[in-house]
Amino acid sequence: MSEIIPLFSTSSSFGQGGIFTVEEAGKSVKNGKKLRGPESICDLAKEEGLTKIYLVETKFANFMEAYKNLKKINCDLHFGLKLCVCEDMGTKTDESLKTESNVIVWPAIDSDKVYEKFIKISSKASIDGFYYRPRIDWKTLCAMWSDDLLLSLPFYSSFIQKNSLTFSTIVPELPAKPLILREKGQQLPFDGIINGAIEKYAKINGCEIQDVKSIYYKNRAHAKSWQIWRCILDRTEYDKPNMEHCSSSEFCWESYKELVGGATK
Amino acid sequence: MIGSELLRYSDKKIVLFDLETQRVNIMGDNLPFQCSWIVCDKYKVLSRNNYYLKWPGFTMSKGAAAITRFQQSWVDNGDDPEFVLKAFESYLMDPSFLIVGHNLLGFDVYVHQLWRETLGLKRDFSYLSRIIDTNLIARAYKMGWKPDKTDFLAWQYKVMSNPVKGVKTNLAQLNKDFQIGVNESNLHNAAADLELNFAVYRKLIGLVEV
Repeated sequence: MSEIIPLFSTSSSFGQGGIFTVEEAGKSVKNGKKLRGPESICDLAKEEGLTKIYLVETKFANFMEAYKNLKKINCDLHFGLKLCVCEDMGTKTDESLKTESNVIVWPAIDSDKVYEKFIKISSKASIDGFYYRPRIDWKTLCAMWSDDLLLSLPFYSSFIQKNSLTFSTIVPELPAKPLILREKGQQLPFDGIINGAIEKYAKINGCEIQDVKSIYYKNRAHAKSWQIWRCILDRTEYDKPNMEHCSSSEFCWESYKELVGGATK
Repeated sequence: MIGSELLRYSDKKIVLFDLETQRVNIMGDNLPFQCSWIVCDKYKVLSRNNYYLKWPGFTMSKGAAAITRFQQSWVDNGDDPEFVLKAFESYLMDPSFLIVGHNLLGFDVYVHQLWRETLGLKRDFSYLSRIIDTNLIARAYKMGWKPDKTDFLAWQYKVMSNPVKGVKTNLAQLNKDFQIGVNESNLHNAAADLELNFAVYRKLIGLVEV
């Protein structure tokens, strides 16, 4: 596929997302001037004339606000729920952390019923599986799965990445054939290693690969704000953030626009 | 000969490098003030290169200044970063060299990219497949992990993702472990670190089948 899909995420995806908000478009502007503070995805969508936003979140906190505020500017919301999946959600030990990887679940059709399923899966992970963060296991995910859901594998945190760049050997029982997401233009040194692994997996398992770009902040200049926010969450400091491989300022809209040559609608 | 592909028998030339920097952030606001590299064969050092870099408005973080015993005069009297980068990369980007260093994959390669970006150059990780990171080889040695030579770079990333509590692999510790006998008061100066790093590398390739 030639299209590169921008995947936004907000500050509600603790430690795994961006610094965007989903505040109503125009609210952060006073007397024609942009107020200091985080950027709203709705402002960005309005500015750029976007007709759909792909939002990837680890929880539902922002879903309704995003849906309503994007609707006001005639922009469709495609909501993806990023889930941490482990081998056994009942095993809450440090060893079990090694079995963790992420998936992103999307609605295959636009219906309220699908979002109800999202909420059920998310609640299960938050209530029964919680260990440092919400988790579900492959068996439970398979049991709760239905055909109106779509499974995708994020580039930097799926089991394919874990098996390639860590000593984990995760052999999951997947609920459906996954769509594999391939990050473009993020400029991390091991992108080639993950890319090789996903291409191999896709070929063997007959999966499709979709090019995407995760977007955590608007411009490269905002990367510092994003990192400081991460430092606050991790209780580290800017001079010594202790964030392994956190070295690229390309997780931004500015970089995405350059990548697709300005064609963003 | 069985095992003839091992580094201990390799006749390839080696470049070891180390960068001393403003802070320990690998994402931004971090430039090297010292770049040192030595060229070696498997037995001895063939040439030594040590440069301080002159960046406009350069300031150090307190922590890094204390560790490196930083002196402002080094930078004030330093060399043009563009000139030094060119000289440094003439070795780094030469595919005939193996590249050795301590914690290169976790730190120095990223600072190298920040250096390039500051000078208006694009990121270039093309040399990564020739890197041998002694920090990771030392960890693997201490843990008894066997190297995967089919994809050595990916294997090194695997080792990096698996830090082990209580297993110390910094150069000072390896100096003690391998009884190398380098004076530790000079460490965290890139030029001094490299002499020890070369000794550690020679020791490790004799112990680990890389």
